[in-house]
Amino acid sequence: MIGRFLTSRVLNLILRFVIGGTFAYAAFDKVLNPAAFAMAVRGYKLIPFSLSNLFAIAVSWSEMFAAVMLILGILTRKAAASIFLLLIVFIAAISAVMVRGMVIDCGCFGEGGSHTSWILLVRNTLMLVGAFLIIRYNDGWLSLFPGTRARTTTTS
Amino acid sequence: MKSFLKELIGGIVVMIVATVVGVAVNAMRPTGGVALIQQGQAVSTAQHSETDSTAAAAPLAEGAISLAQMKEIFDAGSATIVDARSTTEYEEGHIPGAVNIPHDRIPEFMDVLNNEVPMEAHVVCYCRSLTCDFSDLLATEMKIIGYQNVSIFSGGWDEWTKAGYPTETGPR
Repeated sequence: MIGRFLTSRVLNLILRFVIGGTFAYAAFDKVLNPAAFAMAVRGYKLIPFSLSNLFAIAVSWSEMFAAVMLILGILTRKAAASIFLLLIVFIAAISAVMVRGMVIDCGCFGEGGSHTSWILLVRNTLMLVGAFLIIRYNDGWLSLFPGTRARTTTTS
Repeated sequence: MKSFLKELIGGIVVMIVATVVGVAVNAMRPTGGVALIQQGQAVSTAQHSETDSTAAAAPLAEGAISLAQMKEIFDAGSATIVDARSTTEYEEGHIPGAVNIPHDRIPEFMDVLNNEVPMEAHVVCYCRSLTCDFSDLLATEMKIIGYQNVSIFSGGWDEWTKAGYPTETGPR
């Protein structure tokens, strides 16, 4: 029963809209104002100072691309894979900050957002599972240009 | 599994394309966009610690200010003191005359910075204690904005209050 729910195309569509919507909303501010997001990136103290701006551009534009592709259904599984990888980076970065006992602006939704906390880790982990389900089970339903379809291309 | 890995590689390609487009758009912005390679250096006093066994031999990290120096600066009024903590903490108590610029809300506080912290002034940032990062983060961003002379009072609020020096409460 649960298995059928997890693999259902309705859940897949809902996940596309929820995760895509969240990422599009998150990326909007950051794409428009990369300097502010770069500030948040520097707050993590994880990547070289000099690369903070480039990293900020790479992350925010990847978020925007993947989100739009996910919502419209363009290479849907690849878009979900981008989001999957981004979420792994976010989870690792927030964990690293929390382990060091720092509390900083997470930079999640652009400026003045929430601070790093375990709630963010839970939220990101849930979206990670969602992205995995899209990659694993998306069958191209209600998609503009889905690319590879899970059910027709994989048997395992 | 094989199909999953294939999609992940596809995902990386999507991110590379997005980054290239992002860099291109950044370059085309009327303002010139942000610098791809950020110049300057992070301001950090992380090496400075009173309990550090090497502290006796090593001088304070560059730009770091001791409690005694801080008191002198305070008495002489020779620098603009900036509190990098949250507004709530600031209102509960701060060094008298300090300007509150929460380290993670700089864009919101640009007006305060422009009006109350002169570009050419000697600026001293502080936060909670030796172990907090907020003053380092704020100092780094202020240097990027264009402040030339930014120092950090590493001991922060804890050291100041333990020494029994004057404090002030409430909003500014």
